[in-house]
Amino acid sequence: MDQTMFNNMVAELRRGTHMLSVLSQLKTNQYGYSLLQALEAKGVFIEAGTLYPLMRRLESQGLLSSEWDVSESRPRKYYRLSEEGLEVYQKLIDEWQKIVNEIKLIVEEENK
Amino acid sequence: MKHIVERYIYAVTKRLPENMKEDVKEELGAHIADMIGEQTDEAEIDRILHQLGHPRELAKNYRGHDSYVISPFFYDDYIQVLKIVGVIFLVVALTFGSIDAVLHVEATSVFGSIVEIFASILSNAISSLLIAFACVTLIFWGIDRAARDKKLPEWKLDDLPDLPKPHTTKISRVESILGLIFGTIFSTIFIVFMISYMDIVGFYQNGVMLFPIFNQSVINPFIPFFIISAVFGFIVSLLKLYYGEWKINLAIIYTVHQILSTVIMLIFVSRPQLITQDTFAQAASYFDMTTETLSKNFSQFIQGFIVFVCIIVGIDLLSTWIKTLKKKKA
Repeated sequence: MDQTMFNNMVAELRRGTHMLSVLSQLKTNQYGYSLLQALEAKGVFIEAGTLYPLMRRLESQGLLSSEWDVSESRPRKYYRLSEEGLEVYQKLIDEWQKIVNEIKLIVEEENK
Repeated sequence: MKHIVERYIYAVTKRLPENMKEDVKEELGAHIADMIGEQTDEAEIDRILHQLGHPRELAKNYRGHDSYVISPFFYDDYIQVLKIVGVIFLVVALTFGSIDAVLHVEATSVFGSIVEIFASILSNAISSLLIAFACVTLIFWGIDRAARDKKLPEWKLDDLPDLPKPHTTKISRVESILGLIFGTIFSTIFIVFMISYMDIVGFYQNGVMLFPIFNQSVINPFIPFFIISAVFGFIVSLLKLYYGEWKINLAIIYTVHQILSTVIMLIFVSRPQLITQDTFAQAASYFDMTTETLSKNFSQFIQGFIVFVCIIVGIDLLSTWIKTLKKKKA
């Protein structure tokens, strides 16, 4: 088996789940690095170079809102789910469940 | 130390559109500052920046989409059109370039003329290829821009292309063998004749030659080139027989030989002293016109002949290349 090809396929599979992971952690305020750590604590590893741009993109799509906090020594940009974001997140979770069930069915059939 | 981070951020933001630059700069700066924390160790900062990845990659992620001149959606069409237009432009440029070059050659030696004509043909070919490339690329860039982010228009079954007719790129064996035999016989006779018998072609009166028709001193310098061209032609015929079908390398060799032999032949016929002055005088009196008018008419005829030959050779090369390239697509 071609290991690079396989790794690419895994990355491809995981790519779609990134936004789900990100949205899930943003019911409370998070800044970039804290989100990265929160995800890592749950065993989800998204590269920083992917995560930060993704947060911006979700914001531009209206799913996240952000504000700069300049009260501390280092200014930080905090993100959290917008109302629309919460709605989208819940719908996405439903879709995800469907996918899981479909695949489960296929895989189980295979194993019989 | 701070410089490294700033330079990294700059390497990212300089690749972003103007309206994102400031924003991303601030935000990325804050992210990196959080990741670095209180650390000052340069190796550690280096590691963190490498975690973020190549600035080019990060910029791409921030942009959110890939940028193209020609997007993958049009790329295959683009390459196909580029090939066809390239070949057509090249052949047209070769044809008219050769006409122009042969008619306006300045060098006096045979070798000098050949080099001069080849240089002019080559520069013509390269510049026309560049023009073809630029035109096709610009047009496709425009189409691509216009079509970007738009849904494809509805398509009908009638719009689907017809299946290509099965065409053959085979070179018939008989054709190759006949070409080889007649080519060899003709070239040999031609060269032997040029070397040994040109001085007995002339005007005779009562069995005594008054003057020769051709100028042997003009012919002699051409003989080595005739021989080279004949040997080259022989090799090309052998290769045609050997390959049995048009391939890129065969088409290239064939093209070079066609151009070389055509150029040699055309320089030869356009030498002003090729036919002796006496012949013109004799013929002029026969046609009842002045020698000057006759030689003027004659050189016009030669010019027409050159144009004609170049166009014929151009058409031949065009069809050869179309055959060669079509095969690759199939």
